[in-house]
Amino acid sequence: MDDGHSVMTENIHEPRVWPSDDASRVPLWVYSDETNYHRELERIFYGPHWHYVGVDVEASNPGDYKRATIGERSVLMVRDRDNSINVLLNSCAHRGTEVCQKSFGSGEALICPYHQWTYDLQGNLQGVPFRNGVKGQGGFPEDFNPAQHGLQRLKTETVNGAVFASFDDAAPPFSDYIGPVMMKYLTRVFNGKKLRVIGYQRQKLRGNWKLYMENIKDPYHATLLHVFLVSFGIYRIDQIGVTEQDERTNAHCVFASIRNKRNEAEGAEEMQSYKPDYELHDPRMVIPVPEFPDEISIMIQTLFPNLIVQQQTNSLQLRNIIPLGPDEFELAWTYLGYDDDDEEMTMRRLRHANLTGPSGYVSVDDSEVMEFSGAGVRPNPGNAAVLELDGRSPEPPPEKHMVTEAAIRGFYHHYRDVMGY
Amino acid sequence: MTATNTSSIVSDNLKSRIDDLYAHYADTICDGNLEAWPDFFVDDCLYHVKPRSNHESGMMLGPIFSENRGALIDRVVAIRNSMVFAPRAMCYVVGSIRVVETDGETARTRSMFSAYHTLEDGDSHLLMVARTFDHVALGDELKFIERVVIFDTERVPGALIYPV
Repeated sequence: MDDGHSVMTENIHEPRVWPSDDASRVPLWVYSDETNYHRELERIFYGPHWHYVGVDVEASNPGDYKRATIGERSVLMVRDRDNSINVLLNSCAHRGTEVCQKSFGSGEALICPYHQWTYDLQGNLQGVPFRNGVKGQGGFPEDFNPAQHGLQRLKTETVNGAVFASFDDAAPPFSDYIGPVMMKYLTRVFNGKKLRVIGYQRQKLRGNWKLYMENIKDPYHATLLHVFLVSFGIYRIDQIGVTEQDERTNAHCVFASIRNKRNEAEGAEEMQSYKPDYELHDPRMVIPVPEFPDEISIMIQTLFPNLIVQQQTNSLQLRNIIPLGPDEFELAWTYLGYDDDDEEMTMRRLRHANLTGPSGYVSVDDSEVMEFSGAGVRPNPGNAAVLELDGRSPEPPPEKHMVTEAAIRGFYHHYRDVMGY
Repeated sequence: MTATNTSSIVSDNLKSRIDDLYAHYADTICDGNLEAWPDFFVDDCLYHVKPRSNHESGMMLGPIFSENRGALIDRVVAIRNSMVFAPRAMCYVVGSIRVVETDGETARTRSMFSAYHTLEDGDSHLLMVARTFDHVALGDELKFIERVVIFDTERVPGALIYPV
């Protein structure tokens, strides 16, 4: 091997170095580097963090299951006989085959289609065909112990119907993981009332999964990019609102705010997108009715690493960001209501859903900008993003205002810790 | 088979008018003539685009839920003025158009389509494959009372900007 070649190889495998000693810079290689991506899977998605897998009503009766994805791994959220929820790795202990293929299913047991290894609802191996062979031939060794060949069972917790799981038993209790401030907002939507899923939407976007989390932690863009939000006073940077972050990690965040009246826009001269004369023929998709004991009209919570909980007027949604390699992700939307919603409320939630999803009046802008970001960062791994709106600290502003990029800095402050940069 | 009997009494004239409606609808969108798109609908219309799995689970939720022609105009105005997206061309291939039943005033019809989009890089990609379940008013001009698009391509590649 000549010198030139070995130098090149060294450069490729050189440990990545963060370009600043704070989180005000984000190196663009975090969005494209393969080695970094595999480290994320190991340390974040399969490490001691909590991941959303579903809401318990998606598996209502014993034997019901729902497929979910953590990192790149398929898991099963299974309702047990005692009504508890188990989350199991969807990969047979025999040869690794996916045991369940349907998105939703039900059965007395989980049976791998390949060789019919059969597991109970807790993932324990119940039996294997031909264990004692056929007519004295074959069979498993006498010391074959089914107890050692179950489906991997994940650490699981449920918060008022929201189900979270972790591959790593070292994950702290969920309420410690997100902290009391974040629990307060999470249990505002997951308030103990029985939930109802009113539908799903899915998108595949070409960009890195973290770009989407940043987008949701970024009130800066919301007032500039989203003409629709701004014009209808659904969100503007000048409206009454708070930024809250988990003060221990700064990795989880909430923006909560109260709608402006239309035509009262401070700073409008800097918002090229503000169009006060924009009127809808059918305004029902932006007309809310109060349903929470506070006045918050829009609440967006991001939980590290990849869950977004949002109340936007009467639309309640979860967004789960599923990585598909370093440069692509699935955005999986779950739309919720409550079991006691009347028909009028369900219709209202459906109308308000026009703002989000793949054709959403607001969300289209974000989906598209994700792809613009993906295209811009991919060929420029040596450059760095600059995050200096409202300073360089990962902590939220003391006044809790929303003219800040602190939440993105908070995410990367924690990310550096977890990833060892 | 009842369905066969019903469609056997559909006149060639009606079949031909319905075929033309679907072709005209598709070419209007592919030509980029969005402002004309709401005129394919009666005022009190339903235009609903939803993924197959929601539909089969009895859930109405989907990317687009519009309950009158005004809401369609709202969408055109948003596409033209507020939505931010990369430029693209659309191409629809519509087929299997069939009149399921008719009472002379209106007709229940259905179709299948595949839609492709082409971005600035010049590659064409499949956006979705779908079935439509429609209700058409048979006046001098044919107009949709209902157009319900049930699509299979649930993991939508990017965004669904233009109507389908």
